[in-house]
Amino acid sequence: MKRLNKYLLLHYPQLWNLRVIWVVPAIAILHLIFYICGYASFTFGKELHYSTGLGDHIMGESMGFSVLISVLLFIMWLVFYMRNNPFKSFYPLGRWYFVAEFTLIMLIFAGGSTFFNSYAKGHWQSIRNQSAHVDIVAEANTLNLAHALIPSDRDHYRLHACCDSLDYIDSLRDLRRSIWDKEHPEEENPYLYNRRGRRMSVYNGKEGIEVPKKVPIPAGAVLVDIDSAISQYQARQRDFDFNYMHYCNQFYADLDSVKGISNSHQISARLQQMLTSDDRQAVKKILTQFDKICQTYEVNKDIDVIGYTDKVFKYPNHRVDEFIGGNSYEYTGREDDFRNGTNVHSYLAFGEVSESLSRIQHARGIGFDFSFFLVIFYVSFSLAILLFSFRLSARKPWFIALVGSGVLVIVITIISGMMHTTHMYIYIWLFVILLFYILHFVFRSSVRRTLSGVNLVWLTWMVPFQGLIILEFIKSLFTYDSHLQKYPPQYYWIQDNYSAILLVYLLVAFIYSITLLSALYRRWQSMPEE
Amino acid sequence: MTDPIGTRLSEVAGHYQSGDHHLGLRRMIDAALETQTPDIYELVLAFCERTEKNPGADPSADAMTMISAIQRAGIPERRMADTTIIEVKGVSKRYKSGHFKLSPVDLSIRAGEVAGLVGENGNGKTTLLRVMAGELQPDTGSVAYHFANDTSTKYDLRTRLAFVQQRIPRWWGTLTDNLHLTASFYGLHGRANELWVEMIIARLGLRPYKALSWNTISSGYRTRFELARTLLRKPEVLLLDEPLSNLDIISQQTILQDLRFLAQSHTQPMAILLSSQQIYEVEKVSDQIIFLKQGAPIYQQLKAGGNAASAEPNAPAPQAVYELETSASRDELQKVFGALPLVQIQFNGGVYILTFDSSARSGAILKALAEHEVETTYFRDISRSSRRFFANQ
Repeated sequence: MKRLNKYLLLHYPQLWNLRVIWVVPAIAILHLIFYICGYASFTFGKELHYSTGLGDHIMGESMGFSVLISVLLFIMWLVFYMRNNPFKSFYPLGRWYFVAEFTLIMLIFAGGSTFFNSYAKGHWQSIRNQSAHVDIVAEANTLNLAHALIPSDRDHYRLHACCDSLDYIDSLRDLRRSIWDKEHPEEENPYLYNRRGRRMSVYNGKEGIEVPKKVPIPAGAVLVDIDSAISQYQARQRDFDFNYMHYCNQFYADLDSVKGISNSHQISARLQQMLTSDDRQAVKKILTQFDKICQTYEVNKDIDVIGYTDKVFKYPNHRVDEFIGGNSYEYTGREDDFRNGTNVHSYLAFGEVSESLSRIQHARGIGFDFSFFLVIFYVSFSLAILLFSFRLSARKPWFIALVGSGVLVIVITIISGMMHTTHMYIYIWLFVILLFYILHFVFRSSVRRTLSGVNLVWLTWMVPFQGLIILEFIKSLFTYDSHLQKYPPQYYWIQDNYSAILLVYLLVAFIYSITLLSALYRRWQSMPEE
Repeated sequence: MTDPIGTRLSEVAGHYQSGDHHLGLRRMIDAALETQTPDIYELVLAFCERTEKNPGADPSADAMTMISAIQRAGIPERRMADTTIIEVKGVSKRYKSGHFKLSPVDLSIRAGEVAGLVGENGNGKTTLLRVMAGELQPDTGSVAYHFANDTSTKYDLRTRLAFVQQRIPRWWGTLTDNLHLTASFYGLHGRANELWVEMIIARLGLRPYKALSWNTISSGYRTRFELARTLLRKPEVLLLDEPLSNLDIISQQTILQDLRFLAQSHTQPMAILLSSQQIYEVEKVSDQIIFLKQGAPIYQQLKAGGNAASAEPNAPAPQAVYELETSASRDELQKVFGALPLVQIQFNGGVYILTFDSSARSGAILKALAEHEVETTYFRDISRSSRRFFANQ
């Protein structure tokens, strides 16, 4: 290590001065440690359905510690890095000096501030490795059938929840949509969803709908007729006829598009086939498999899953007269008990099984996340800009700029608040940026070193924001059409491609910083005092 | 045409033969640096190590071997011989706050020349140095630099100007790392870097201190290390603000002598401007003196060839001025010098400043003191020294 350090000092002074000799290995080792900790933090079983964090890249339990380590690392690094400043010492610096300096600073910030990501990566990898044996499709099918066999939600067994009823409502809704589309060819109806959209499940959760009497749709129907028809249809729901034969549901729907997953109709058909043919062996097999799954994922339950085999077969009408809860706190009970006000506390947390399968499925699908990359790029670029400006300017203008920025933000916020205009904040900031550029051209030929230094630092600090402000300014130029209830297509193009535009801007800003800004600092640094 | 390396080495041999090993070593390193040959650097550094390990042994024989090796290596062509490197024309500066004003200064320094900048505190020495170093914008006038290679930007120009401030900024990290870093940024890599740094360390007598840290060395050595760092940059112009302020009297003389030697390098001559309060020491090594009195320059040419816009060297002084330290009173001195053309007696800082007509000679003055048995602890002729300007307040 010492020899390598000496080698860098004698051959690559910039790398030596950036202390890459220890900061890069330190970052690598810390990432490895966080990865290992993340990996070790997961044990196959109930942790699959425990809430373990914030998302793919950030785990709640690691975040605080990661930030703490990052801060400590950066402080230590800066203590060494700040020791020598070849630029302020007027050492001859090569053409690529600033390119290398800025890039390395950015990489150090990016690497040193994402330990939580390694923790998350380790965690997800651990899930992938430990659940490699899991056949999600098979387990999802078992779960969905078991959910039908062990009643936990009354709504799924009501009359209106059967496949025919749902299909009829779907057809009404499809008709409604087609009419809407015909009458409003340029508009999107935000309240209509596709045939299998989540919106439908909300309707399922409401009152039951009588199936046999279909409401006729008159020729040339208009929307209001169909809305009325749906309302009437739903209003005809009746009684408490909870029945296995009504079940038409896909409890675990995350894998809907995956080949081999049974849909609600297939589940319904399979259930009806087992019940009508008195296929106890098949039911027992499913419940046995499900019981094994419950044991694997350490699902919370207080029922005998396999013992439910006999409860499923209720002749002659397959009536469901007992429901369990989804967890130990949920109200449970027989329908009779429900009427009598007495409760039976039995439960099986189906949600824990589906959550476990979802997590395994999610772990298998995690790949490169552009948004996360962009956030890290932006944050490390901003931090690099902050440090870069400190290294290239002097303490006095830098701290004046810091205090001035605080004052500026407060003043602009107050003015914007007083103006009561939606985009005033953007306009003021845009004006401030333009003002900084004008002031720069005013000061560049004078010898007011401190003033021009403060202005230059402000110009530098605005680099990460000015692209966003300009973008928001452009968006503000597009007016909302209240008749069509939408903006012009360009507006949506910007919104749809926001991340890509931001990335392009960051690349441009990066090049701008290492070329033009560096040249301005070079000029400023050699400027004599007045 | 004289053989510069031959003359230098004869001088080195003379120092060793007369037992002045320290000076001999410094001059030997100077000669070795002139060769610009890494092999010679290695030989000399090995010699330094041997002499340090055997402090009691006589290094003369070993030194002669070194001298022969250096002689054989020879030296390259001289660079920028006798050309004016820095030229100041009518530079003046007034600060917005305060009443101080630096009156227009004209000055030019050639390669190999040392110029002294003297004056009391607050008379504009640092201001002039900062203007020359490009740190301060003058109100009037200009500073021109005539370097071997053109400088395209102001930043490039600043990389060529070496300015050692009076208050030296703290060094962080080890001393040698800092020196290697500087040399590395100036394009010296690998073994060349190591050798060059070691040679400069040895040249300034810093070898015993190189392993120490900034906190463990005295302010005098900090100045020396800063000077070493500056020399690593191979500057063509060296501006030094009060470099002697933290040094003891022996170190002052050594550093000044070293600066003189370094300025007169055959292969890398420098123009040096140094400010100081140590008038006599600075005068010994300077080609010209600029005395700043309340911001106004008074030029003093000390050696032939200097460029100061003043009287020619060796021209008769208008008055004979002497410094005298004695326990005698002013009245007693008036009696003692009654027969001599005494113009004025001033008492200044514990010593008398005696001003005589230009016809007075120091022998006659000393004779008068002896005849009257005046107890004398210090006597100096300052007729041509800038010291006399301090007295005329």
